[in-house]
Amino acid sequence: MASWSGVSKLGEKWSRPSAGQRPKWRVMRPPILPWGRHPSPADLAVYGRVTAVVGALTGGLWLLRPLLEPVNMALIYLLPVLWSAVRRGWWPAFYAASLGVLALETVFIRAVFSHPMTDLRYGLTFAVFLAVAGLTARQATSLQREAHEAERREAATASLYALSRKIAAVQDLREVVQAVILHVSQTFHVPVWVVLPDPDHRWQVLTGDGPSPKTMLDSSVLQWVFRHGELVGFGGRHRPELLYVPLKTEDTVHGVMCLGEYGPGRPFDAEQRRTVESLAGLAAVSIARVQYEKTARLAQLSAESERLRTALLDSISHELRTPLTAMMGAMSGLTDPNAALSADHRAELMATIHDGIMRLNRLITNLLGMVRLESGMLRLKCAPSDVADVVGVALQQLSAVLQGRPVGVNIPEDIGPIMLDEVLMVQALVNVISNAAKYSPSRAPIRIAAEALENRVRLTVEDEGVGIAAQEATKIFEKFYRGRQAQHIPGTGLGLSITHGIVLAHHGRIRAEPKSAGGTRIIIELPWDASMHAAKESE
Amino acid sequence: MAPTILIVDDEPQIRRVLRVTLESHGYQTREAESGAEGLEAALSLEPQLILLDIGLPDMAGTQVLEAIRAQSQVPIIMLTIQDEETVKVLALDHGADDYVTKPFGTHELLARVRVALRHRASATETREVQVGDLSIDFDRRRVELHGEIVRLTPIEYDLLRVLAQNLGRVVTHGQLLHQVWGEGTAEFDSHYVRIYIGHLRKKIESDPARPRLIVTEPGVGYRLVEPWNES
Repeated sequence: MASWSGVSKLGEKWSRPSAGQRPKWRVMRPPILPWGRHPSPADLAVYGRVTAVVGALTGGLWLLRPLLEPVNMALIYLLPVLWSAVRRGWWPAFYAASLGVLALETVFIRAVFSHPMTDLRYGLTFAVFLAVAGLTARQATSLQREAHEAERREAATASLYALSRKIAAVQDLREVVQAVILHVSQTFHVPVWVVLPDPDHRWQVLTGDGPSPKTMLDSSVLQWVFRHGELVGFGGRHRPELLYVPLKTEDTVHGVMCLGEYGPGRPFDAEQRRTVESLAGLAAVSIARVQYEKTARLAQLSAESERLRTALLDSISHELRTPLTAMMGAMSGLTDPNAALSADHRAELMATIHDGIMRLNRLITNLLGMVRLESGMLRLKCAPSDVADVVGVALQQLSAVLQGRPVGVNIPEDIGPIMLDEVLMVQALVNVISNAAKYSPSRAPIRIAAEALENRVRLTVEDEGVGIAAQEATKIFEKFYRGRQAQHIPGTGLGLSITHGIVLAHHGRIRAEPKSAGGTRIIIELPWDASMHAAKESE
Repeated sequence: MAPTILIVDDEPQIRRVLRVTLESHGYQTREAESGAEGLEAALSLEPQLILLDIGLPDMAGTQVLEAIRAQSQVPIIMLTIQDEETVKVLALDHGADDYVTKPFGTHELLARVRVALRHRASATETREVQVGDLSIDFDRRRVELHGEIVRLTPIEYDLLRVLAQNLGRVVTHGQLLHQVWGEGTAEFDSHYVRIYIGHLRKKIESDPARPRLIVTEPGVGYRLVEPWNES
């Protein structure tokens, strides 16, 4: 759930209406482009201004009357008509024309030149004035409308472009929605909420800044918009409307975007509604994209985990049965009364049973380790430990595996205590060393070395075995991954991935690299606080 | 008379193997398959040693341990599983003598049993300990390897003394700290133990990287053991 970041002052204004005035909601069909403008008080002032201009003009002409002919005056009276037509449209122009003709006739023609204008000439002048007013007004209005339309389209396109750029690469649904909310609320300066149905068909509200939508949004309206995919305005006479915009791609409604309006009496106009709708369309496409991607990823993941599960079952059953088979065979040999076993053979069969048990035990330890790592149950019990000791314990646990194989250990004495979980680090090393033994000839040496670097201790385990390809160097730490050269040697592909997990849990690093002379080098680096080394001989 | 060993484990297979192994080495055995039964048998039979499974179905092994310890000083060896180092240390701190980790071999089990019985038998301080080529003379504070004197610092000597007095038995980090450095030492200082064990190993082990005398029990402590040939 998104957090409601602050119920602002808007909260009071936006609170639910009292029971007496139930809000009404209405479906908003796509708006038709409005023709002329509705008159408003601002427009009425224009008529006053036209009157004043015509009056001033009449005064000026009165002073200049000895110099002018009536024709000149008529032309000058056209000026306010033209101005009104261009700036204010048809009605103010018509008014200016009427006033101009009236002033010309009564003040000058009749009084100054004292020969009354005949009805015909009067009518003709008036007709010319009207024609000029009409033509100019029409032309000007259509030009203005085109310019305005172009401006609006540009703004809408810029807004859409800005939003699409913001959300094009976003993978996370929540981030997409937050970007949409932020963008829309910054564009219109109103609170915005996006409501998405969650998989259980409950509403999940995501919001940017603004009052809590719980008191604002009406779930029945949400349901209706979600089902029918149509824009709905919801409000009453005394409270601002809310706009419920469906987030709709061609055939699906993905959610509903809700916008608060500016306040009572200031609803969204048609243009703003169209911008809102195009933004909603873009948001819907993006939400659909993110959801499809998520579905695709899930499908891929489940296929992958299916493959892993099969691989795990195969390798585990093989790993469990091999030592069991060997032990069963050795056991039957030992208990067979007809078999004439020499002491050496007897000892060999016994060793087989012992090795089988140790191998099964290691496998179980690794399986448990895997479960702990996977379930996040791995808890480190770190204590200051001695690297040489940890290596020694690992070697001792592997003494049966390493029998007859030269193992070189080179750990300088000056490596002080290092914080680690001894038991887990022993397990990590056992996996690495037993791998080195498993993938190299039985007499090939294994070298283990440690060195103290500035703030870490580096442990290397080298073998002279089959080696790895350079491009496999990181893959061998993946769960169930088996090296290309190691396919014929049985194994679960668990050991190194557990070692990897243990080293990571110690905030360390592990990597593998092929040795130039053949064989593999595994490098483990663990954080080390050199100051702990300063433990002095307090004797 | 052969010592009587009480086996407390809920798994019949484990009880059978333990019974056969122990009886074939001359011990008498008694069995109990639950914590409550084991507790009762421990107090009524008065066995010389108890093998106590740490994961009993009816009550925690450590609970049984505490209940027995409240009334008896009989040696108790816990049967534990891997990855339970904390429980092992807890049991040792609550009076268990030692533990064996499943799966264990006969050799290991019998060694633990012998050590536990011996420590009870010789309540008096031993004066000298011989382990492998190493001999420790407590009266003269003298340590010899292959007959030659090994020079140890006082702390190294004290560490070796504590381990030798518990020959074959695990000694936890905490126990070593308290017995060598004194009661007031914090658990945090346990890295001193590790450092000095390292020093000690360099002086008495033939291959300090693969110690055979002072064996590390990861996450628990150390054990001074009689070296035995792996081959």
